[in-house]
Amino acid sequence: MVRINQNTLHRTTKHTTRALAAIFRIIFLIAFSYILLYPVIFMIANAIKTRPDVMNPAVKWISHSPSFYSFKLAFRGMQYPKALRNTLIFSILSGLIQVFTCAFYSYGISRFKMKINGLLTFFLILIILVPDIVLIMPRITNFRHMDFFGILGLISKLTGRELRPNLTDTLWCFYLPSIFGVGLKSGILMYIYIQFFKGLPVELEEAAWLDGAGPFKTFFSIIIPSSGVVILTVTIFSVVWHWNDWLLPTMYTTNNFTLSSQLYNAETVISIWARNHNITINTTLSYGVELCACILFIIPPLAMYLLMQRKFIQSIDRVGIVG
Amino acid sequence: MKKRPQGIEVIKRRYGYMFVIPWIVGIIIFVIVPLINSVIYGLSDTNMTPQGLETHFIGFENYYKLFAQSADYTNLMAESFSSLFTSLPIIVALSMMLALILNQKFAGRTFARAIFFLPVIIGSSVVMTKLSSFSMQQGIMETSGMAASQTSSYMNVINFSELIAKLNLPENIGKLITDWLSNTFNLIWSCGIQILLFVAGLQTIPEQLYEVGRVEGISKWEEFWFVTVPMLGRVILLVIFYTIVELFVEKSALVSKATSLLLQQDYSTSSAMLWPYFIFTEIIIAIIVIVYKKLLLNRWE
Repeated sequence: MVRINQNTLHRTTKHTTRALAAIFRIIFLIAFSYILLYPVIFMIANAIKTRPDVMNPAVKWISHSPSFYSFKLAFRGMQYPKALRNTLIFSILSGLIQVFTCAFYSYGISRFKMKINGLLTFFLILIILVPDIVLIMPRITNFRHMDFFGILGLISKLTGRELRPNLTDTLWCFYLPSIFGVGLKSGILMYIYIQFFKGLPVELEEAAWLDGAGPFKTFFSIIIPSSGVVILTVTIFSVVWHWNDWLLPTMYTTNNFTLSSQLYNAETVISIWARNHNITINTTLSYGVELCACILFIIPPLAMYLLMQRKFIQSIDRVGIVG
Repeated sequence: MKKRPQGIEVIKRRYGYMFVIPWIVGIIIFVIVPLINSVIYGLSDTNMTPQGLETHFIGFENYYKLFAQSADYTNLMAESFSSLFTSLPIIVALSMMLALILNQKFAGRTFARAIFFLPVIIGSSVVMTKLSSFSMQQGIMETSGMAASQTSSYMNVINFSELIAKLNLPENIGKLITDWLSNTFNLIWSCGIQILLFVAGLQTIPEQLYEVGRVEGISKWEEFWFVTVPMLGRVILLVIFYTIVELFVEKSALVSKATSLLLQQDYSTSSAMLWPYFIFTEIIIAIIVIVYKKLLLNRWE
């Protein structure tokens, strides 16, 4: 008798705790979603405000006289089409190169027992830890006279002809580090790859090996096709980080601006453009224009994310990072 | 005599070198040589000329200037480190909590996840910097009475100072709580990748462990501390590691100062500013990693 009572008691408490947990979860999620969506809503709401709205204390969120004039100004002031093209060519392409090269090197690190494995791990930690800001200036001086271990320099000294190419302001500033697997945040990407490759069953590769496929063929025809999930995750990371990075484009190029560098200097860029086109931009308007520039900047990655969101989240479920 | 690997082992090893040698070349050219050069810049007087960067070795003068001549640098450094230590535990705890919630099965999970991974896409970019600078501008506008309507700003999603003022707390404590709360709310924006790492890590915990726990009759609380946390041990380490690196690079006052100096082409001072900070951060990371491994990971595994 007592036993049954205890059981029912137990069951009711279990039910209440579960209900409480659900309520707690809902409140928590709504609160956090509010915080996360706030900046986005804030941007949109303020971007379409006009001067009367700003002066009107009754207007907080919804504009009474919305105007898309600032969008037009921001679009033309940032030279959006040209900046977008530059971003795609410089940043995004180098991000995509990195997705592939990092997979290649990570496979080498994770699958083969070599004497230098300890050193490789050290290098990996080094590139995760060293921030770009420390490296950027020496890299630029390096690009000015690109050289590999002083070999070209030595030949130039012997022959008297300058063989070291000047790579500043070219695509190679972005592509070369990516090709060698030391580009933007490549350490983290390689880390994710290595974790994934370590979890892949070796049997498949051994079967391929016995069937006479070399390691490169194994890599291309077995490893790459079976690691779609991790490649998707890494691609999104790499592309987004490249899209958002403004330091490298500002430092490496002078005439070829990208979207991020334009946005970083939005105030100056847009005011110069306006002066050249005899358009006056007052304080309220310039504020709206900058917000519009922000919105224009996040639209492409946001669209990409919304399109791929389901796949991305599924792939996160399956990658399984073990630290 | 030591047994030497033969046959397939040797061939495989050789192929392994073929895979990684380009990477090693890249590391030497694009990381190690620049690092050495950066140390040299810090120790010299640099001058940008059309032919390239000219350096004159001047020893520790740059460092002397930074440390001895004004308190700016040491203040910036202290500020950066204190923000590192206040942010790190909050970020780790928050992202873990959110990951646990997002990992449960409930209606609307996909939607919730889509929102929570939003910071991965737009957080940590110029947009966030812009928005927080806007809220500062707004503050200035408000005090001069220009735009009374725009009291809403990114930095104060919820106006804590008003709430706290109503509680009649002593002034200092009230301010402390306000700062801490608004700081926490900003930190949610830097949790994106961390939540993602935790969610991915949670997938690797085998379901059987939870089943065993249920059979043994442990509570949810015990389940969390004795199954989830130990199994996530290495992911937590990765998150700590990543968070420190990110805070070091992006959210620190010192690095943004150094960046602005870099953009003004003052390379020597900027290198000199970064190096001591960099070394201190590495020491902190090393200490945290070693202590964590010794105290917790060894016990869990």
